[in-house]
Amino acid sequence: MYTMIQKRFALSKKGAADFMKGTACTVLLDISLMLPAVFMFIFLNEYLNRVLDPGASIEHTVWYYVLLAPCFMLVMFIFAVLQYRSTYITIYDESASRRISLAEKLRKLPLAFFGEKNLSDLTSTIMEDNTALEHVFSHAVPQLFASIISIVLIATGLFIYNWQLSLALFWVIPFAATILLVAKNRIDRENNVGYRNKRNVSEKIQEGLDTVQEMKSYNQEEAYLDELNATVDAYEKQLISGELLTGMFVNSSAAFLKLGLASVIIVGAGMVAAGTASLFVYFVFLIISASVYNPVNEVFNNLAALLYLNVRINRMNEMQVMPVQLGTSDFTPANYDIVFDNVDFSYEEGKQVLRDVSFTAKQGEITALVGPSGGGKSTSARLAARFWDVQGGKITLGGQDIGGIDPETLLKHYSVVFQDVVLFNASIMDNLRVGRRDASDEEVIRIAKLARCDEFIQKMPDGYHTVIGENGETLSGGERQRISIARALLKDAPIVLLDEATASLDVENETKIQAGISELVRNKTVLIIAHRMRTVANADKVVVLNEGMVVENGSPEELRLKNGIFANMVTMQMAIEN
Amino acid sequence: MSTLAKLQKYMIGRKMLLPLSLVLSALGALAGMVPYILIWFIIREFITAGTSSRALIYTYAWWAAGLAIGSVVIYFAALSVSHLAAFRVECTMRLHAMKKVVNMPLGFFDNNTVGRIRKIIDENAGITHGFLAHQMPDLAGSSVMPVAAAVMIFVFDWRLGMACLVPLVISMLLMCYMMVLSKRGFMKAYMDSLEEMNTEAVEYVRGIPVVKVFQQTVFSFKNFHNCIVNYREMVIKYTRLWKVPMSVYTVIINGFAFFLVPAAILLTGNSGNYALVILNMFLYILITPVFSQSIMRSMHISQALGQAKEAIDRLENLTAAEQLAEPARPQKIRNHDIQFEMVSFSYPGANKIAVDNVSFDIQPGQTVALVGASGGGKTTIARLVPRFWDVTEGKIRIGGINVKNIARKDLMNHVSFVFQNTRLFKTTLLENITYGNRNAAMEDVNRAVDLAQCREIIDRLPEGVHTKIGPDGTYLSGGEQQRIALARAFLKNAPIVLLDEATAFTDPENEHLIQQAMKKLAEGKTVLMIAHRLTSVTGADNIFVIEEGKIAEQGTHHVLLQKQGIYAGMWNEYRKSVKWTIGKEAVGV
Repeated sequence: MYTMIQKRFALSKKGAADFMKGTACTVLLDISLMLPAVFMFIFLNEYLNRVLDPGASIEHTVWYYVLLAPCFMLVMFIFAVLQYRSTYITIYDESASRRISLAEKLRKLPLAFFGEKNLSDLTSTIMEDNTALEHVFSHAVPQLFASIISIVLIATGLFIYNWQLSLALFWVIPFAATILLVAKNRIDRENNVGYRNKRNVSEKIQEGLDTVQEMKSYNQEEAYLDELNATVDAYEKQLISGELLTGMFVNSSAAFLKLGLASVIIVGAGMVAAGTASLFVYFVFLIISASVYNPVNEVFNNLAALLYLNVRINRMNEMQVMPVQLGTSDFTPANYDIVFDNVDFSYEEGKQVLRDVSFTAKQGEITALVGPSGGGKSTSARLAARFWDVQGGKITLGGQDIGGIDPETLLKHYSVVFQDVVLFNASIMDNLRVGRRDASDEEVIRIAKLARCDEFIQKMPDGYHTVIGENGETLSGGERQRISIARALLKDAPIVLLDEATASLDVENETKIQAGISELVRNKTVLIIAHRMRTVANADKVVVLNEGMVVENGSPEELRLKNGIFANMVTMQMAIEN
Repeated sequence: MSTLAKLQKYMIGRKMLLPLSLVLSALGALAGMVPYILIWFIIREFITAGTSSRALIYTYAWWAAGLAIGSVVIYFAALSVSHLAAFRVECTMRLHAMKKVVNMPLGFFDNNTVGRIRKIIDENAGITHGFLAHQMPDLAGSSVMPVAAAVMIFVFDWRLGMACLVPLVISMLLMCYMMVLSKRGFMKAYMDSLEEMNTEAVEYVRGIPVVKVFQQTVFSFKNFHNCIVNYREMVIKYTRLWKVPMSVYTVIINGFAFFLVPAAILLTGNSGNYALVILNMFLYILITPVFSQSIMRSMHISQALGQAKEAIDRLENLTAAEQLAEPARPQKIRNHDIQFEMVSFSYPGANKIAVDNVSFDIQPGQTVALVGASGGGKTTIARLVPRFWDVTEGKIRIGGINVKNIARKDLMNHVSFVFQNTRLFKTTLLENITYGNRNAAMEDVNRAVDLAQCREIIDRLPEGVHTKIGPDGTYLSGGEQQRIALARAFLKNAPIVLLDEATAFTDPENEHLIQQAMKKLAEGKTVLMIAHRLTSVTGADNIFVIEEGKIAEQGTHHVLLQKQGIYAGMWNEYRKSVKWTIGKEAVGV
């Protein structure tokens, strides 16, 4: 039961328990909300008799009722508080722990995930899903289940009390439910179309914002706004037709329920006339008929809302079952040689990125990966740090297959600098210290100087304590890259991966940080990717990748003599820069 | 302006729908009460006469059901109408915001990241829905209730009516009290912390690769964790505030009987007509659930209103920045020289001056290069020409006309800019190239393709210029994308060209082709070029060395070399640095 609820609504174990508790409390509240009716019927039973039979005596005085009322109200109040606590308050606890567990899950995903898909979009969607679920789970779902339970309980009681009138009261429910069931698929379909249309609008807006510079420089603002208008128009039309369709079914079902009023009135009158029911019983059913259908209708509406949530819940469950990378955390390599052994790899089926790639990056040597864009250089570098698991062959570090090593344990041995630098909305000092948490201020500053960060940091308003905004948005590309190099320097790991580490720097700045980089790579296993041939000309070894295959492999001198791809690239570059 | 008035502004063409919906909703609520009165008629029949005719019962039965159904239908109509209005508001808000945004000066996008703008527009527009589509009509429906209650007080038994009024008034007071509780800046704090948490989530996810590589997961996790916990604490604190009033409210709104019964008993004691009191009692018993239900429906109106208000504010704040003024009497561009006259500029909010009293002339057909360290102001100078920002002081003229007096369209028609962050559209190459000139002749397109050195890209692709690019199509490398963007600029063929050489180096082959294309694009044009590689400026007619927002030196390559000043230093440095390599031997080259 627990696991079912847990899975069905993407809840934690505690969440499922809280949910059951919340539902139970809501049932109790629902039943306690019957007390006013009980109160009323006690009164009617007594006083109506007097009207019908003037000789009947009255047992309870006004004091009885005046004392009973607060007792009943107190009971209701207690259940109301309990219910409030168990739904409104616990749900936010549950939401928080769901968000936290999601965050935990995210950081265990293979690293390559974060480059390939637009995970930040996915994240914000999931965060929104969470907020939506939070709302529904505090305001609707426990109430829904509780309503169903209480309605069933009340109906059972009524059937025992008088089955004929109960039948006259409840026969409409199965029919009304059928109307909704029939509509379910249509409504689902409409919801999906609606969702797509909404995405179209979001994407159109995104496109407009992404390309605003082009739009303005080519005087295309109006053309764009026209297109946006059309997209929004389609969205609006769909919203309307979807709303009308859903409303039609939901309201037909609500209207159908009201037929029950007529049947109770007619059947009851007949039974009174035939003497098979007392007037009191008849009146009780009349009163119930006046207020029983609205809660039923509420249940139907909430059921529809629950259906709508399926998309969100599924997205959450999907996230939870994404594969994580596991492995031993017991890893002490004999040396730091990285060996690619007939590696095959593709991000998606049918699009092979690496084919049978074999090479060795030796400890203490610089191995450069070169070749045209899309040749597989970056992929190889990322695979070397187990950002993703290979599909064929293996990659070993110090002789041990990295596929069997826990990613975080493995990464302890790597310093990585990529072209896309990610920074944090924190002070520069904190950003640098990402490299090593316990580095002293002096150490950080020494490294910052080495990576040529100090010069621009000094110019900032608060120096090292300047906060650099979301993803370091206040820094230029070159500054960002220097910070990321400083971070790697601070970490000082035995393996260094440099993927276009200096691409955003102009030639002068690249030259300026050479001392830093040279320190970074000294006596390490270095895998470097660079477009500027001069950066790799002094590597110990060059591996040329083209279309996912190793086409040349050797020392730069050897390759230059070969007159192949590498030699050609070097020549071309000389022509540009001189 | 009230929130409602602001919302109505967006209800273009459907302004009357909201009042219509309110009226319908009220009507529906009234119709919904009639069946209960009919049921009461039946009860009256039985109590007064002890029996009733079959025909009469049937009539009542069908009318009761009919009106109940009618009320559902009218309410449906009310909601449909309010939805029409709400959808229009939601859509118009998006359109208006985007219209404002795309007409902002381009500098606006420096301060606002695309992701943030999109989030604000996309998310806030939808938030108004609940208030307009549901809460407003429901409020109208429930506002009928006190009126109906008043009628009952006068028409039937005023004392029982008063007894009904007590819980009604208490519950309404409680509602007001809860509204006051939530008004204390809660809505803003709530939405702020929600936004903060979502932003932090994105930052957290983006940072995961880094923190994993550096084993800092706990550190970055902590920030996100704190945001989540803050949000939870805030919401729970607020929710606790509501706990008691809300629970009392639940009791009272469901507890009409507790007030009616004692009142009725007292009345039976005093009043002579015992049967009449009991009879009237039935009416109140039947009607009060309707009261409770409709009051509950409009329960969340203040929350919804608060959210709608916040949403509009957020959206309007985003687009509150000033737009560039269009000249009242625009002048036509006739000549293509560029003139800076004592131009100074500082970014809004920055205390540092970015461009400091800069003056220069570029003759038609000349190529001028801006060089200097990054952060010196080269890019800012270039971006002032097409009015990314307006100058703080001084004047920029094109062909002798101040750029502020040129119609925006005219200005854009005469200026091409090829900047590093150029974007391609996720459509075919052809549409990308003909962007801005959809009716271009195929031969012109072909010429642009050749000049931009893109022929090879197109020949390689199976569908040629009709190949789609982007996630659903072909992937182009960064260098290839730059070349396609250049083809677009060739097709536009504007007489003034602003070029920003990419800092980042693509592969040598692309780099070579891009440089060739840029050279061709500059031929015969007035060109202002931001150079990052000194080899590309040696042929320029004039070179400005920009330092700290000022022109520190100027002249041709040879003149500047002879000066033995800053430029000469840079050149020597550059010559040296192109020889630099990574590696053990490299140190000290």
